[in-house]
Order: sequence, then structure tokens, then C-alpha cells
Amino acid sequence: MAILRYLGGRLLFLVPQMVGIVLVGFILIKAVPGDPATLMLGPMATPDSIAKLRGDLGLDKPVTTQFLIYLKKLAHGDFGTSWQTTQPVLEDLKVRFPATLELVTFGLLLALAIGIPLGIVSAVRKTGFLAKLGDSYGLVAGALPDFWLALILIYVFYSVLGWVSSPIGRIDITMVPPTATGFYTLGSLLEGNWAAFRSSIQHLVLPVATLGLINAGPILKMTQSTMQRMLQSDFSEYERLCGLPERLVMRHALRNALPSVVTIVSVLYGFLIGGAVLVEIVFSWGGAGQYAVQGVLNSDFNPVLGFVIFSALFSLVVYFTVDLVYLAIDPRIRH
Amino acid sequence: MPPAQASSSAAPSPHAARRSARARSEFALRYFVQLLRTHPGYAAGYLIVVIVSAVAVGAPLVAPHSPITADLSVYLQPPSISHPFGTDGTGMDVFSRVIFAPRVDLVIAMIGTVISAVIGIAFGAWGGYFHETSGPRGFLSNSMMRAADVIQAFPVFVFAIALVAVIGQSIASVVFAVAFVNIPIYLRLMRSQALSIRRMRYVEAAFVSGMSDLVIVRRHILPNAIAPALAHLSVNVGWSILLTAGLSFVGAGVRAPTPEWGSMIAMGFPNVMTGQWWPSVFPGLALAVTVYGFALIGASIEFMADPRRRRALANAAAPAPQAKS
Amino acid sequence: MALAQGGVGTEAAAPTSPAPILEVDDLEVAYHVYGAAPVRALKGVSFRIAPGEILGVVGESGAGKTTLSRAIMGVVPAPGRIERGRISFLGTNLIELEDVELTARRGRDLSMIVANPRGELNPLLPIAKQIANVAQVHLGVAPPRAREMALDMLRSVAIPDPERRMRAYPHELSGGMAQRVVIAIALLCKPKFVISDDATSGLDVTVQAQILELLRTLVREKGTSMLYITRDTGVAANFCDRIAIMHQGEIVEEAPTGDFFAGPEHPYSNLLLAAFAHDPALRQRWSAVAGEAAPEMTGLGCLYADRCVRREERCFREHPALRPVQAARFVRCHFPVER
Repeated sequence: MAILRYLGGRLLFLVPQMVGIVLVGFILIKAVPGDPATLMLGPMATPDSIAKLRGDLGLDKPVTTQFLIYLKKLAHGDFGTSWQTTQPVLEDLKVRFPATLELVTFGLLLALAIGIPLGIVSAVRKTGFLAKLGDSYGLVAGALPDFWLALILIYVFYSVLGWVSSPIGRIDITMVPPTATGFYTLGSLLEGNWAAFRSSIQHLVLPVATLGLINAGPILKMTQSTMQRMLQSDFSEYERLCGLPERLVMRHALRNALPSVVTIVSVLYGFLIGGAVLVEIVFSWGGAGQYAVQGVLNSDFNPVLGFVIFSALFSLVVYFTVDLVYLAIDPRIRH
Repeated sequence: MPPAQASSSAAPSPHAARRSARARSEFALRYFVQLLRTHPGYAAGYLIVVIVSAVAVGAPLVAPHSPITADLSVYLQPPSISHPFGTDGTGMDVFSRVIFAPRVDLVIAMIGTVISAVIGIAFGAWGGYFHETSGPRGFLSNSMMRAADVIQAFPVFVFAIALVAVIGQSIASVVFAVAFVNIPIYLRLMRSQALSIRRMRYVEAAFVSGMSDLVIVRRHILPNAIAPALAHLSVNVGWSILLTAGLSFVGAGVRAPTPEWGSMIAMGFPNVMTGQWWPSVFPGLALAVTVYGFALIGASIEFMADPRRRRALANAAAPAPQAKS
Repeated sequence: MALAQGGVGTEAAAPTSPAPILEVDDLEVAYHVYGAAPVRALKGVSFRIAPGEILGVVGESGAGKTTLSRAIMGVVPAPGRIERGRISFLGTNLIELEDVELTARRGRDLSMIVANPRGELNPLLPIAKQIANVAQVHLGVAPPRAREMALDMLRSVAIPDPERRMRAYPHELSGGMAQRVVIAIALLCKPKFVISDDATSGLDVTVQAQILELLRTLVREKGTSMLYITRDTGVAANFCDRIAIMHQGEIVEEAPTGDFFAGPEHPYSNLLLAAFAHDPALRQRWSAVAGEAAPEMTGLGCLYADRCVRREERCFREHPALRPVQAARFVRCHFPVER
């Protein structure tokens, strides 16, 4: 079928794209000054030990050779080791990536829950409080720094009101995190550990609220503008001409607006994997973005490259899935 | 639809053409004023940006204290008459620092935006014009787009931090990082416009008449394709301010003690949990309000560029009860 | 009011004719644009349509035909407004109805066949669903029954292989088939009155002929009244019982089809017919050069005076009313062509 051929072509194109991303990342990282060997051994190290470590790490070889070695290891699933955590990067990411994913997924769900209804209302009603709220929300949410909003929420709900327990980390320090999956909510549910479940939810509340409130903005704007366009379109006018009641016209308009909303969600999803890093830092979330930032700031290359690869792969998977979703909802594409 | 109006068939004289150009700009000005009157929100945006810019320029005249002198005897004092925004952990006056910060933030954001716009627009117009043509220029155009794809696939924030780390932390490197991550946006905006414009008849005509590609791009493609990119400028400045603040927050941007909103929030971060909210909240508030102002300007430009909304605005100006229609 | 305008309602109408399905009385619609005077798309239009009658409305682009159709259906787009007049459908003045009441009638008692059907149908719904929606909303039937009715309608509009076509999407249909679907939707609830707004102009000639034949069958069978809007006088001659010619928002001539084509009395009608005839001399006879010899444009005179070959000084001063010249025949002219 033509569809399979098209999708297959897209998959094939993934490989050179990924290689390109890894290449650029590699060059970038290598350009960052700072010698990992020196940093790893500390200020007391002797020049000999530094030189030996550099030899062990392969840092004395030419850059192109280093790149090829990296690629070869990558093909075997070896992302290298982080000298800060002394763990293989793959293991580190196996813990941290789900942390970010869990946070971002819940955050986006909240953003959808806020953004879509408000967007619809402000598209349908031109006047009234909700309409004005919808118009301003997108602009205000886009102007708020996410790390600052996180601080405000911590101050209000933790320092002042005390509604939330500690704003640090993903789960109560005294508890053992579930190990079934990387997701604490899902994992604790699967293990039947209600205390861990409650704690993980409690710790999710503030960071998810931060991400949700801010990212509802672009979702709202896209929903609003697309709904407006659909409600003014020829087919909506025709449905009114046929005497269909306005709420049915609205339902159909929403259905037609769906592809645009899916687009913006996919863009946000890919962006937030790295874009949630500031929120992660504020809440000491231990997520992948935070991991990469610490890597850059400390000349720890492998975590950064590993993160870039993971997040690029994730984006590509998301876009691919979105294309499948488009095929399902829009019959015009099937041709 | 209203019946077609009889249009004048005579060719316009030079006088008429000049008059009509002036009449058009007058009309545009009237629209603009009308827009501000019916949408006071947009007017507030322009006001905010003007005020913030004025404050940035006139900071030494407005600030009661020096922004970088630390007086440990008055550290972490809540807002008072002498310190309207209180003092931070090292005894510096928060209000004065908040006033001085836009000098850094606005300058970085504006210069970074302008650089990225110039580069992105120039290359985008060129790339769109030569898209999928044969020969070396077509190849360059396609490679450029693939390069932009790769850059955009990178997590923006990590990329910006890495750029700053590569060059060495300084204001110039922050400007470079901000400019670099924004180039792909203008590239794409210009390119998609250029792609559709190059199919127009007048471009074909210019080509056939022997105009060189460079002149065609400069005289025909650029002016007609540039509108969406220009509309994006203001929003981009706001976003660049946020990026700068974020970079400074993690310590990869502007270094202390230079007053900058993001680094101020970072410095006040530990104090928030213990209840001293003012060192972090006020800079963030100033930051949010400033970015909001730029976003409003961007929204007003978007509004004016949309002919349908312009018409609706104009018709709404004629007061009349809406009968069943 | 109507009588003073010299429109309908004189003894020219046969005293034993049944009450008209639709009676439009002095309808004025204007578009209010910022910075300019309101554009009057309809300037006091009056006519009536008897049960089972097909009235053809012919005019050039911009004459106000589409505005007329939208005004009757109650969907004049902003910034247009109905300034004055009556639209009396089965005795009820549609202008005075609330939106909800109007929506209930639209599609059920009076409906419209649109042009450009592929652009007007919902691209994401299969056509059977779109037909069924109308049945469900207006006739209150359950979905399975609505699907049956949709299938029946597809058969009655002669769509080949209807069972398979039911699941098709609008972009998968040809222009002719999409037109049939739109006709199916318009006729589903067996309305008493249907407007066809230029419904066949975008189609190939052969397809056009088929559609017209289809319309004739369906409409005549049920005794539906119709307002048939077109720019094609030939089609109107074939299809309609009466013709009304529109020019710049006014009806300038109204007559039974046979009488009209035997000899139109308004200079503009003659120009229209001449334009369709392959006779340059004839066209020449009826075309005046526009803009010549126009004394001050006071805006009070006949709207056609500028292009009229029969114009006199009176035409620029005095706006002619629509006067009856014979049984069921009206002309808006100071110097109509005598037949």
C-alpha cells in the first residue's frame, strides 16, 4: 500500500537525520573547553595520571577518530560513562528519562485540560468574561518564566499554605521508589504501594501545575484560532444553512480543528523533553534535561550526547506517531 | 456579498499614485489608532515597552541605590520605604537591581533578535528562491534546510548553554547563543513565503527580462515575503528575554553581580522556601510584565496584518445594533 | 406599502389563485462598511411565488441574486443587514422570527441548493452521515432510519452505486455527484420551497442537463415551489414558469416565461438576451456606451439609465416604479419596449 511505502521512506530517512544530529552534537561538545580528565581527577592530580586517564578515555586521538569510535560504541548500545555519576549514561538515562517523561506527560495533559475548553469557549463567544480570559491567557502564560512560576507556587502552596509536602524530588525521601517501570505513579500502582503512589502524586502536583499552566497557553491559542476559522468556514455556513443547530455545527468544527491541536501538542511534547529543564532544576526532579545541563556545565560529554540522542529520537517517534494519527482522522490524506 | 463597485478605469497619474500612497498610510494610521482605542490591552503593551525602555536608559537617574553595592548590614530586609522591593541575601537593593536589569536583558534580546532575523531572513529568502533547483545553489539551499532541521532537533536550552560554554561566558556569548537558536525560525518563515512568491508572474517576468537572481531576490522576493517574519520580531524579543533569564538562572548566562532578572531569581531561590519571597518575586514580575508587553505588541501586529480582522474592526467602529442577519 | 411601490398585489393576479408560498415585500438589504456609505445590495425587492411554481431570477454578477437567496434563508453574512421589508413564508414573516425558530424551519420547510458543493460539504464526514444528520435533526428519526433515508435519497438523485458511495467523502466525488448530494440534502425533508443558487453553473454542459432534468422531475412531482437563480437565460427559458430580471438590487422585469421570451419589454432584458444570441448586430442595438451624456448623477434616476439605449432626460430624474403592464407582467421602465 502506498501508505506503508510512504511511512517506510520516512523511517529510512531517520538514520541519516540521527547521524547528523549526533555529529553536530559531538562537534559542539568537543568545542566546549574543559578537560574531562582534569575535572575527574580533581585539582591534586599529577600530570602523569591526567595523561594516562586521557589515554584511557581515548581523548588523545584525533577528533574524527573519536567520533567514529563513539558511533561504533553507540551501535552496540554503549553511550559511554558519566564521570560525575560514574555510571554508564544509558543506565542514568533509564532512570532520568522516564522521570522527565512522566512529568511532561502529566503536564501536557493538564495543559490540554485547561487549554482546549478555554480555547473553544473564547472562539465561540466573542464577548464575556471567559472570552477575554481566553484572549489574554495565551499572552500571559507565554510571558511567565516557568522557573519563576514554579517558585511562586512553592512559596504559596508550601511555605505559606503548607498544602503540599516537600517540593523536592519525585517522592518522599524516606520511601523506596517503585522499580517496576521508570514511572513512579504507574510503578507504585502496579506494586500496589498506595503510600508511594500518594507521595509521588503529591510531589507531582506543583511541577505539573507549573508546566500545565504555562503550556496551556499555546494550546489555547491554537484551539481558539483554528476553531474560529472552522466556525467561519464554508462548510460550517452550509451546515447552518441546512438548519443544523449551532451545537452540532460546533462539534463538527471541533472535529475539523483537531489536526492543528494534535500538531501543537506534538511540537510541545518534543520541546518539553529538554524544555522542562528549568522546572526540573527548581524541584530537584532528577530528570534528563537537568542531567544534560549539568553535563554541559561540567564538561561531562557523554551525558549530553546521550540526552541529545534520546530526545531527538523521542521527537522523531512523536512526529511519526502524529503522522499516523493524521491518517486516522483526516480522510483526505489517505490519497 | 456586496455588489462589485465600478472601478475607475483610467491609469493613475504620478500625483494620484503618490496621493494614494499617502492616503494608504493615513488610513493605516487611522486603523492603528482605532485598534488601540478598541483594544486597550494592545495599547498597554506599547506603553509597557516604552516604559521599560525608558527605565533601561534612565536607570541611573531612577534607582535610589547602586545596583551592585552590597551592604550586609541590611540583608534580606522586607520591602520598605527606603527599599521598595526589599534587599536580597547580600544586602543589595532589589529595586535598583530590577531597574538596572533591563539594560542587560533588553540589549541582549534585541541585538540577538536582530542578528537572527537578518541572517535568517537573508538566507531564508535565498534558500526558498533556489529550493530544488538544479546546480550548486539548489544543493546549498537544500543542505541549508537540512542543517536548520538538525539545529531545531536539538533541545534548545541545552544547545544554548553549550554555545555559551564553547565561547566562554560573557554577554557577547549570550547574545550569540540567543541569535543562533532563533535563526531557524526566520529561516523557515522567509523560506515558505519565498517558495510561494517565486511562482508569481512578476518574478517570472523579472527573470525573463534578464534580471540577475540576486536582484530578483532583493527587489521582489524580500519585500513581499518579509511580513510574517517582521510580525514575529516582537514576540521573539520577549522570548529571547526569557531565554537569557533562564540561562542566567542556571548560571550559564550573565554572571553576578551584574543585575539581570534571571540571575536575581536564582540568587533569591533558597530564600523563597524560608519565606523571603521578595528577592525572587519582584524580578520575575518585572520580567513577566516586560515579556507580556512585547507579546502584546506582537499580537497587535498580527491583528493588523490580518485583513479580515482589520475589516471587522473597522465595521465594529460603525456603531449600529446588530439585527438578525 | 406594497401597492404604493407598484409591485405585487394588484388585480393582475387571478382572484382564485391559492395563497403564495413565499411573498417578498419591499426587501432592502445593505452592507455597512467602515468609512463608506452603506452598500444597498437589495433595494426594495418584491415578488411572490405560488405553490408549485418555479420562478427564475436572472441577472449579472453583483445584481443581488445571492443576497436575495441568503436573505430569504436568514443567513445574510455580516456586515449585511435587512433594513426593511417582509419575507412572508406560508404566512409567517421570517424576518421577525427568533434564530431558533428560523433554524428549525431551515432545511426542513425551506431549503437551498448551493453552488460549489465540494467546497460546502464537510470534508471530514462521509456524505451519508451528512444527509443523515439533516434527517435526524429535522425529522427526529433514529440513526439507523436516517441512514436508510439517506440511501433512498441517494437513489432518488440517481447516484450510481449508492450503497458504496454512502461512505465516500466529499473530495472523492466529482462535481456532478457532489451536486446531487447537495440536492438530496435540500429535498430530504420534502420542503415546500427550495432555492437553487446558481446550482448548475460550475458543471459540464452534459452534467448540467442531467441535473436540470433531475430537478425538474423531483420538483414537479412533489409540487415544490422553487426560486431558481441563474445567469443563464437559456436555462431559465427551459426550466422556469416565470422569469424575474434583476439589475443592481432591483427587479426590473417580471413575466411568465413564454411571454417574456416572446418579447422582453425592459431594455436591460433585451440586452441580456442579445448577449446570448450569436448576433453582433443585435447586441450592438441594445448596448449603449456607458458614462456618456449623463447629466449630474443625482442618484435619483433609473439605475439602468447609464447603459440604456432608450434613455431620455426623464430617466435620470425620476426613478421608475415596477408597474404592471399586462396580466401578471411587470416592468420597471419609463419607456418599455412595446410588444
